[in-house]
Amino acid sequence: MRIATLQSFNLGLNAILDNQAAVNTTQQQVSSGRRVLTPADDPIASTKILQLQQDLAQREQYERNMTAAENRLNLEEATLSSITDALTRIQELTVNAGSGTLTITDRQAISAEISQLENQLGSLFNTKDPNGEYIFAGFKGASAPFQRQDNGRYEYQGDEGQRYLALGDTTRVATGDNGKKLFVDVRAAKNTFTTAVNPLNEGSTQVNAGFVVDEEAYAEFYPDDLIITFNSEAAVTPAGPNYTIRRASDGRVVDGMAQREYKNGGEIVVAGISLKISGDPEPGDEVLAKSSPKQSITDTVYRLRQGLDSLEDNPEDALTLDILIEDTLTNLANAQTSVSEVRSQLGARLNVVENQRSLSADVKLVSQEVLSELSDVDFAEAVSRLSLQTFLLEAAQQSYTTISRLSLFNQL
Amino acid sequence: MGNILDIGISGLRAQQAALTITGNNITNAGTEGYSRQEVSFTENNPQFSDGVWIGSGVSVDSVRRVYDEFLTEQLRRDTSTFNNFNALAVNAEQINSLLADSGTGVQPGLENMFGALQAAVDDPSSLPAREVLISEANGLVDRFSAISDRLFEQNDIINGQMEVIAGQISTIAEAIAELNEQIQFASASAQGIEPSELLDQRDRLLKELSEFVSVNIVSQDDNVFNVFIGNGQALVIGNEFNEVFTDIGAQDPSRVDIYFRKGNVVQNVTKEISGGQLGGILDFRDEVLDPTLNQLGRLGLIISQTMNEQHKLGVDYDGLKGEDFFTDINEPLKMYQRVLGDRRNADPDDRVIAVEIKDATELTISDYEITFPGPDDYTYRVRRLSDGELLETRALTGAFPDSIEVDGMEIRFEAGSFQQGDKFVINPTRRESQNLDLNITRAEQVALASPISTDTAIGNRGNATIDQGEVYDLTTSYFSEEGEMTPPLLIRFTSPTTYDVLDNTDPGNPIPLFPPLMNQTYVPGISNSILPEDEGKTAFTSYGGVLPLSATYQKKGTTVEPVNGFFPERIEIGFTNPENGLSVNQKTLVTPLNASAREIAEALSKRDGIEASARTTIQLSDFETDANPFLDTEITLNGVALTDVLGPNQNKYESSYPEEVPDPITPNFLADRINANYELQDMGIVARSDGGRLTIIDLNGDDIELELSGDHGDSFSVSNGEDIAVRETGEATLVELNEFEGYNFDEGGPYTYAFDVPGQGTINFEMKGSFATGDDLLQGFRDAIENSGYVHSGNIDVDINEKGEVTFQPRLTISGAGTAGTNKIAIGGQVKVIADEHYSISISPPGNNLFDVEPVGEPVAFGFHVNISGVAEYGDEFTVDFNTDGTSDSRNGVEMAALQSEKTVNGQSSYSDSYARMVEVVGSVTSRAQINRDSSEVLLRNSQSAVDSTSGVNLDEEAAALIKYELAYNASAQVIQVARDIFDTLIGTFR
Repeated sequence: MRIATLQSFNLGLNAILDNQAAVNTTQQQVSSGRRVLTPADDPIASTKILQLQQDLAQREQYERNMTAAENRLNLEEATLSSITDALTRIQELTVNAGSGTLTITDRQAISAEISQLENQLGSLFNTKDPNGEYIFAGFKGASAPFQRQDNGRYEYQGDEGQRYLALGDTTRVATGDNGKKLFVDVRAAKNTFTTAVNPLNEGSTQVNAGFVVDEEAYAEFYPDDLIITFNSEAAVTPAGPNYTIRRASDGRVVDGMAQREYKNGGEIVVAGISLKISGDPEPGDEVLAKSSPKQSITDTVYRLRQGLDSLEDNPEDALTLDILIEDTLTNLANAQTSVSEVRSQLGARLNVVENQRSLSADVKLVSQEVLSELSDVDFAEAVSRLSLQTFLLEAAQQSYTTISRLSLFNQL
Repeated sequence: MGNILDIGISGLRAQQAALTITGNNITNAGTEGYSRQEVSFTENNPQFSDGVWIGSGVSVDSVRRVYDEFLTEQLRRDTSTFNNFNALAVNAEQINSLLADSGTGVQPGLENMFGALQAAVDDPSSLPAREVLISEANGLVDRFSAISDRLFEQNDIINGQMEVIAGQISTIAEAIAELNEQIQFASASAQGIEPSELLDQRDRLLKELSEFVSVNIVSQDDNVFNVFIGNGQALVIGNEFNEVFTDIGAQDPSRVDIYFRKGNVVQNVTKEISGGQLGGILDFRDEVLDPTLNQLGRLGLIISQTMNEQHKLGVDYDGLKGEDFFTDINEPLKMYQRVLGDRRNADPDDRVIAVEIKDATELTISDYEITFPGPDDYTYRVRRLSDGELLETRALTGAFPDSIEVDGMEIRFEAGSFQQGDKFVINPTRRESQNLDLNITRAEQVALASPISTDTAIGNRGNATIDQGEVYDLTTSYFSEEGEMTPPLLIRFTSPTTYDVLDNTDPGNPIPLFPPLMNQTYVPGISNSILPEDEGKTAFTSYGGVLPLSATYQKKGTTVEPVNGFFPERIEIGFTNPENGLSVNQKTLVTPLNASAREIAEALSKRDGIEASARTTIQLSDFETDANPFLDTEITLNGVALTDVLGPNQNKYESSYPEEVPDPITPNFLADRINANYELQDMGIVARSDGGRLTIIDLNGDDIELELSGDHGDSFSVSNGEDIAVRETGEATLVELNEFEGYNFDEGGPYTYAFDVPGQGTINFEMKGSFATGDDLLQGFRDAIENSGYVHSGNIDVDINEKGEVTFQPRLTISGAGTAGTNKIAIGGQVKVIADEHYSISISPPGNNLFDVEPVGEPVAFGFHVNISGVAEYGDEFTVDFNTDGTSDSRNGVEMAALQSEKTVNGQSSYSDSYARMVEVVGSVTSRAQINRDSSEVLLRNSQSAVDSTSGVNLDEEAAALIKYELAYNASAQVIQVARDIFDTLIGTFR
């Protein structure tokens, strides 16, 4: 085959250029450690690599979630543990107070200690996490869930929300419990009632926890609720705040309590219960006494304190005191049960997190291996390829210079 | 003898020529495209002399240009092919790296944004966490912009390149035409001998041309080459050439097209061009640039739409409903940008078409074309360009706007003079990657919380629990006010298997919803969905019972049946077909005169698409007894006597019934008797009394019939139980009114009021005058309402409650008729009609007293689900209210985070899957182009080798030729020397 001069130079040059390009590519692979430099190098592997990268990123996110969940659950566990201790101490004091040899002054002293414990419980219920969120407030974590009223009673202002964190594609764990479930919805010893004011009230009415004075009368009335409505002041003469008590089911007036004169802080006895309303009501304001088989821990302690403070040393009061002590002990036992139930749930949740963590770690390892296989370069192979290509390049360069010197003109 | 000299000279001349040619070859050894020339000698004609033929030397026969036409053609073709793939590969490689690089790719942007979202979900009360989310979302937007900017830049670059190449093609065409002329002239003047240098030049130009575009050469007889490009466009014919140039694309002004001008005719040849750099660039545009832009755009649209939809179901840190997270994909400007009119559409340029994305998840990545093929001006076709499928052939109705829906978009013709020949191109997603932008700016605007929160009442005796609820539509009337649920709901169990859903705006006084949702069924043991699903149903409610003008008198000894006063009504039930918008009416339903609500509801329920229920309510109050009683007051309800005195062995009532009949009769007494009566219980009658009013409800909707027998002074008032609320209008603010004190309306004011009556609209009145006592005040209101134009029967009874709210009821007083007979009354009930989706009811004129003349259906849907499970007891209550202060709630955030792995694109891929596929496609195209380029490069080198092998100069060969011709020259010179010697000898002989 005839070779033109120009052609032979071009052929040699092309060989050098080709080898240079190959060396370049291999050198890039070796220096970056990646086999796939651009998706064009291996389109199918590139897609898989992108997917694996996303998968790994998600796993890392889940791991962060797991840490956050653990932190919150551990905080809750520690708080509940302290609450259990406080409740136990209150139980001991209650038993002491039930001893028949105590006088009212002794009982008031016990009541003072119980008051301290009540404060402690209050602040434990309002625990905040390191970010400043109240952990027992449900979704209303920006404000304290248990607010103390002027009359010393705690009211729950949070809601029943529960937050979940995702630990995996299909695994979620609850990272908190709301104060209502834990501390307010506690089964009471007997049917009792909770008092509340209508949030739409325009006046500044407050109501205390109240208590049952006549079991039989209340048992007849139960489970109906009481609505105490404040009428226009002109309804009585002389004009002044007055109220009517109706039952919630059909609106009938209860015990003839229609348009009764209102005394600030005065005791109202109706349908076997006694309660006190204080403050300045406006006409239209409502106070509700809802019958309930449950009683919050704070109300239990509140009623206990009121009883210890006010019951005298006479036989009648002694009977009331016995009943109060008995009911309180039952309620506190129920409270302990409620708290310990949640504590065991916490334990179970922490287990879930633990398991998920080790599962996730395993899966992550596998993904990383596959990713490495696809995208990392095999150094042994690449380096030996590099040395081969460098050798070829050198050979091409030398042969080029040698051949270019051959010409008949040199012989002329 | 002289011949020897001539022979020598001829030899000399011939060798000289050969040496010149060889020298020419040697000096041109490095010239690109030079075809070596070969000399061929021929012997001169012999002469006959002395009986023998004697030759007469040598002369140069021809200088042959060593050239193979077929190899050159092959080289040209391979050049075009190689340049084609090279241009494609080079451009595609740039996009390739852009998409996959971790610094610029979209994937890490998505990962970062969702990572930040999860962090915010972990800690929703933290504003800094939300700030981070916003900044990472901006980061994602930036990545989209960076890639799309780069892609559009590339578009501009290749526009420029195309322009330059087109210019060069034209220049080369001109040069070839000129050469054609020169060659023709030169050949003619040299009697057909070809001018090699000119031919080489032309070949060089042709090869250069083939680098730019595929060419087709046809040679004419006189060595003229005619050059064709594309699909038969003649670039050069003889010595004439035509111009190729670029101009703004007819269909898309952002890109250039290739045009071909022949004489006065300009042709768009973009689609015909192939091969060479130009073909490669066009291929790049079609196979890489456009699909990548479209896919990226679609991904941006899907991310915007899905995140926006979910975000708008939540509430933000301030308790306000979530806004769009990213900017709305259907802002007006964007909708118009998606359609481009062809520049060749006839004037005036007034056509407006908008494309609204209805569902981005159904979009394809194709472009679309609308053509008006004619022969009329309103028929049009919609074609999808990726597969060429004709999607729709429709006709414009002539009225604007006129829409058609295809592939997830709504194409809306809004205005303009559309006509035959019009063409439009729709790029639904092409420019959208630039449009992705964040709408919210502040951390407080991130809507992580769910709008609803559920609560279990403390007093519940059962163990039923309610879930946290789920919102699916925030546009219902329940969320019409910011920051509250209107109204909040109370779910109250009336038995372990039935519950009511009530309006809990005033927790002390829950009232039924409108339309009412009472007596729903609950199944203990499973999870019950409490609220009806949104199936597109609407509810229509009738007016309710009609108070007659007076009671019906039944004379003793006769039997007269009172009627409920419902006039016959003609009810039309219509169905609107959602596909074509046509309405079909069923046979008219005519309700019989005085039909009970129950009968009407039953008749309606038999119809397709309709379900109706009925309930009758009446209220009795103001029981009076005659000052001089003579007769016993007897009240009978639905034929059941309520005021009878029975002995101890009665079996008409339960044992809890009140035995003694009070005088005057009290509501409490009647309520207790009614609830204890077995017969009335079977009829579905229940009663309630609050001491002042007795409310009787017939749960089945039958008419309630009352009969009163007694003295003329015995009476009670009847109403249909609906209180009408009077509200203040105007600006005067009042001291709160009450029933016990008078008020002076002449000071301050004017005091204007209004109330709404179904069927009579809004009625206004003004209070004037001074009233001394509470009773006067009430009378004043009564008079004002009576004189306000309100049509009613009976008297108005006005009530002012503790909060100063004024309400009234029209009431009819029924009195005893003495010994001569009794008075009777019958009150009809209220019908609630639930129509399925696409059904509606209307009343044929004249409407009467059953339904409103133009009944307006209220949507039944709430917009959210709640589920209750477990065992419930009578009286158990649950509330659903707005999630105020829910800063620790991240339920909506969780749903948004779940979008990362959800298969949002065509139901098959998630965001990253779709992006990964896009990267893979570009990678494949690039890889293929690179492989093709490498293989075509090898082919190119081979054909170049073949051409060189034939036409290239080999210096060694030429060196050898030099020696050869030099020898021959010396030899010829020697011949002349010998001739000269012979001549000398001859001359010397004769001296």
